[in-house]
Amino acid sequence: MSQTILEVTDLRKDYSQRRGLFSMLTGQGRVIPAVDGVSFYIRENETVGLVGESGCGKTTIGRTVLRLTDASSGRIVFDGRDITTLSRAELRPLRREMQMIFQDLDAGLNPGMRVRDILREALTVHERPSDAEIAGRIRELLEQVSLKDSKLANFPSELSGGEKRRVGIARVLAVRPRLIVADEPTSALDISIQAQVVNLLRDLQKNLGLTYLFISHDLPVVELVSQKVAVMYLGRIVEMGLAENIAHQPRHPYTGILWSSFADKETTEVTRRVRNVTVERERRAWGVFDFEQPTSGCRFAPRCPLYKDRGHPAVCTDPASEPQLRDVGHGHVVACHFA
Amino acid sequence: MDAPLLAIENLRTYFYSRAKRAFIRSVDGVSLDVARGETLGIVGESGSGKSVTALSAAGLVTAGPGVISGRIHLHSNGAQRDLLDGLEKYARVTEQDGRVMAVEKDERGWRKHSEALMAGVRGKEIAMIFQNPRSALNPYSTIGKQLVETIRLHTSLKGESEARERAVHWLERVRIDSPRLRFDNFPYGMSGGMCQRAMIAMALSAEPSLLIADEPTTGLDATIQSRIVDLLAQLKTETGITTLLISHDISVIQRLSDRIAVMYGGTVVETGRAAEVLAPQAQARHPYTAALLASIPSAETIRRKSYLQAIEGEVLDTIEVPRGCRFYGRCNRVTEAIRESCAGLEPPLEEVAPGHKVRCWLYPAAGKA
Repeated sequence: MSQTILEVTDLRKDYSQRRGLFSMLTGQGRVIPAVDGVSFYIRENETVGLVGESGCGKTTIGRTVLRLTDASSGRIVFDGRDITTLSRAELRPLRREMQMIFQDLDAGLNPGMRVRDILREALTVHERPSDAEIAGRIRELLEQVSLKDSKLANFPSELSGGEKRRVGIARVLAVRPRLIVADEPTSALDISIQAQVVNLLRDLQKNLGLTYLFISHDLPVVELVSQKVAVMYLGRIVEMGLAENIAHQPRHPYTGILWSSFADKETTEVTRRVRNVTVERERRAWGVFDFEQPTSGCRFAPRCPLYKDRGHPAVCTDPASEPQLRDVGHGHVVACHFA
Repeated sequence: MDAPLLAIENLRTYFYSRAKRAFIRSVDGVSLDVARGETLGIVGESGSGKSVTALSAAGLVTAGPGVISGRIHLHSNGAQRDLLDGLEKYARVTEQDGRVMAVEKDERGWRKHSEALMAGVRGKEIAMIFQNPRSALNPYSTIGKQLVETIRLHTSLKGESEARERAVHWLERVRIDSPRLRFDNFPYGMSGGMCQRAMIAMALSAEPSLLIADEPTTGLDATIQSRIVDLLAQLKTETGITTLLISHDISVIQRLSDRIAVMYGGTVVETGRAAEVLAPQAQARHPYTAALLASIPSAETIRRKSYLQAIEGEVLDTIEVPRGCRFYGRCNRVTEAIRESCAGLEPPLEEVAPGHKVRCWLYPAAGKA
């Protein structure tokens, strides 16, 4: 079994939000725990999918593990080394090993530079290769992302969405990373182009031995590319396990709801129950993204079909017993009292 | 048979792109029918012309030169009108080798004419819901006020209090919780899903003959998306409203449509009953539709962790339209027998089975044209 490349323990990231003059003057503000005690690990050459609705903290996790933003607490270990509190200078050599693909197709593509110069810049950030080496590497990168040489002279604005994505990926590959956080890498693309990019990312993983943290709300794609999937809800991982188990035998009711959004999926017991959406439950759904009134106990309870079916058990809303992840076999973990 | 509620004939809508210094043939000869009570789903990728087709039907194309030619027949409430009646005299197109060289259009004359034709139609006969509902609602007015305004303007309920009651009724119909409380909410205080519900309430409260839903779920969260689709499905059974649904998301189209039109490069390449067009083992099918379906991970693909069948190449930009089939450059089903036709002649949209039309040289029916 391959070794662990990234291990995250009890990661927390708070954002403080200040509103109005009073809180500005007094320095008091609300604290929003975007990521609230998350632990997981990724093995080398593996893909872990991270799914959940917007605002659940997926992107924040991606940014925090790469140290693009500082964690409030917790531990991030990359390749056996604790990087949680490394200084910028200490991080610099590690930056090339961990890269991010952003959702925004234009991210990292300087609009005033031609593709050739964008790639050249990426190749010379960490090293001082000769011109011949640069030319060779650019050729290699183009081949890796299947982009025509004729595009080298183009500015980003002259590229299609799919080509921009390929240049973005080539730019990331230029520094020969080991871990790539791919944050919604396909969601800005058309369906037919999405498939090309998904295939490309899988090829690159196979050929270059890359490790991915794959953040997406596109569940079929996540299931296809990932070995393991973590499902997030309001800053916490509520379920994690092998991709096929998460997709087909979800134990947490939220996972069931997420996957039931797809029409052609085989219906599992939970999803079937969830599909019978009653108006009443739907009504309950609207208060959910409200961090101002943290739910006591399980944070999914206000939306939970199980909570209702079981006649509102007290344990679900007991402030002293927020459900913790526990193993239900085969490394499948769930945070639900009734899973 | 009853005349279709909406019949679009040979619609052309072009835009001028300054960046590319060329005309984009966004909608390039589209003909579509929407029968009374049915939902027609238009599916396609960005740039296929699906949204512009809908906007043209609602008279909402603002960029120039805009709608160039065609007919849009609307048969509703006993009246029969062509929303593009008399358009020809305002626009003239010069074309050369598949490229639009110049468009002369009397923009002001056309706009005035069109507004006269659309008066009493847009908002009343044809109502629309859009992607990004928050920006379509007036941020300075409560949703209740906006609903009351719509109802008093478009229905026979002119009194304030009866319009209010009707507004609350519509908020209930779209399953908004505590409608009387929500009545006084401003759009900014509501979630995206709730704004979309309010938007749907507003569109339906005018009691339109045709609802145009342009990407109604795009940009919403996955779980909210499926709720909005559920709601649209419920309202469809409850009200029987005729709907023109536009989406890039095949699963949304699949769940809501009776019939489907697949668009590519400004034209309809396949149309037919939803069950037939999207059937896993369809007999005749446009290679683009097949490829589009294959691009989505199926249960089988996921189980075997196999590659997705991507469509090679890029989505056609409709500046320079090829002489032959618009999909030829990306098509993986060209055979030697038809290659010449594919490269040189645009196939007609021909019936391959009753009510099922495909624009492709693969099917012998097309050859007889």
